[in-house]
Amino acid sequence: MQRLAIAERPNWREQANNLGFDFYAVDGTPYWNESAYYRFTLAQIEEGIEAPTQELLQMCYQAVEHIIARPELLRRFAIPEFAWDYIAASWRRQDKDLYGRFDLRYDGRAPAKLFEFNADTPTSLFEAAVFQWQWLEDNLATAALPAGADQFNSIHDRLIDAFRHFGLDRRTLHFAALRAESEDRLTVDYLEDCARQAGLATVALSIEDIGITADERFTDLNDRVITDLFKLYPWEWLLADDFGKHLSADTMRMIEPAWKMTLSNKGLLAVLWEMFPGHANLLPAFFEDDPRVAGLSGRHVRKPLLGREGSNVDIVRPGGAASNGGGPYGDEGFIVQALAELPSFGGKYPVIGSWVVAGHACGIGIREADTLVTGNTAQFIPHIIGGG
Amino acid sequence: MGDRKRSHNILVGLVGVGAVALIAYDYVGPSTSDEINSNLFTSADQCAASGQYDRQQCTMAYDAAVESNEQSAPRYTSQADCEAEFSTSSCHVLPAAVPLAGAAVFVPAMAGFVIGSGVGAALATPVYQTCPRNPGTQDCYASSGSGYYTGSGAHVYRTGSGSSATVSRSAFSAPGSASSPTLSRGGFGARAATVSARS
Repeated sequence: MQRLAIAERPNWREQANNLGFDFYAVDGTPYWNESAYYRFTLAQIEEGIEAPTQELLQMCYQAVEHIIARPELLRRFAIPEFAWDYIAASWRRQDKDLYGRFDLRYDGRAPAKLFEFNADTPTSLFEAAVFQWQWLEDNLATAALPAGADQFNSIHDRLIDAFRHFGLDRRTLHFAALRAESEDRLTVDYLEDCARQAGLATVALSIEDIGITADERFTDLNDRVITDLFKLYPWEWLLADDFGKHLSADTMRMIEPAWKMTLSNKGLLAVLWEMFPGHANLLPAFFEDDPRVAGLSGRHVRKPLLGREGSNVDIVRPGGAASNGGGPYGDEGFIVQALAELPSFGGKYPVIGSWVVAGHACGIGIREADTLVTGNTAQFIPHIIGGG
Repeated sequence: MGDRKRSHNILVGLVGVGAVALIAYDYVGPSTSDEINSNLFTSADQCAASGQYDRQQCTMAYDAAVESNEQSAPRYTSQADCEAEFSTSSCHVLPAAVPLAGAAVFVPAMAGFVIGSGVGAALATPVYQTCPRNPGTQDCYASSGSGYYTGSGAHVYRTGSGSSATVSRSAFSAPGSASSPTLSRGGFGARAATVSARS
């Protein structure tokens, strides 16, 4: 696994703007960075990332079953009790999941280690599925990259295929994101486009526009009942919102399905370690009040159960702690995970975002930071497989 | 080309965003089995001139589309939201709509209508033409023959250079086929202002 320099394509910003990918720089700080790329061998991708991702996903599905059956875990996960039967029903029905992103530590040699699973509202989808794909195609066309270079990225094809097989028949699929979040809007517009390419009827709306009827059904701005809703908005916020309690009336099929709440919570990491102790792709992890935390010998990472983008994450190690500066999360509690330091590639620390779509590992997006905690200022870097 | 680990071709036609010419795409339209051969016309005159329907069928279809247009048109709570997807000259206030929390309702103008072959003019449906363009400009990228959607969001694909179109059967479902009076809105999204939804 190597990090190599490459010239930026002269028109990439124009291309990004044309595509609506206009958040490639955040307050002047670059987010999309194509002055470099990572290069993997096929074996590293297939054996080092793809196979472990697939296995981790299967373990997660087993964890859903385990968690749903245990009220003490549901309580630990801070999932409100009124939603427990609702979640169990979505699992029994096997409501289909669309996507998720595993964050892995991988250095090309040692077994990949799971940091966390972004199972509800994973970001950087468009960059991974489309923009880095185009980066590769353009650079192959100009021979800036060696002929034969490939990329672990069939996310786009998998998304369209997933929508084809969602069993929606002729039902309309609504797509909702927060009105003011342009990055979320791009993600949702892109997914809606994939759904349309799969032949589905779709309607876009904002989360704030959703209405409610007397019989606890939800409506769009045309007062059409929403039968199926893709939402880019966290489950725990939905349940806490005014309309949240009416979701348990179960009148609307959701993507991601309700059972995903058991996986989008970092308590999952403690459960996985409990179920599969010593697994090569797992890091030891415990709920904060577990006495086994002491066994981590002061080398650990403390994460809020329901945190986002690296906020409220504290790293503890001999010789000094490093926190990324606090944040608004942590009311629901914390887990503690053994510390596995990110590998350094010339002072850059990459996290592998490994995407699963409809149950298949199908691509990666890499984000790197100058520090050991990957927050929301990390940069997205493209990658290739092989290529001479 | 061997066992590629990446997507073969990507066509991105994001509604509201400029359609980008990525490398040559071989996308050939929807592959669902319930497609109906149809015709898309921008006016009753154009319909009659095509020779595929008689004047009376065309007029009936056009009138039916106009009648359902108010119910069908996608609705927005701001002019800007509407114009993000449709042209600036198309978006207008829907006068008869009940304002949502004091805000007017904006809709795009009907751009034409679709008649499904064999199902009769009674199932004609209005279509709206999106206007992908560079932010800050008025001119739409798309050629005049593309970017048509029904009110329910089904993409109507033009085939060939004439009026033939392919549309799924669901496009003809009545827009209010399952509508229900809304008691209130805005019960989701309260945490939007404070923290990011992303992970």
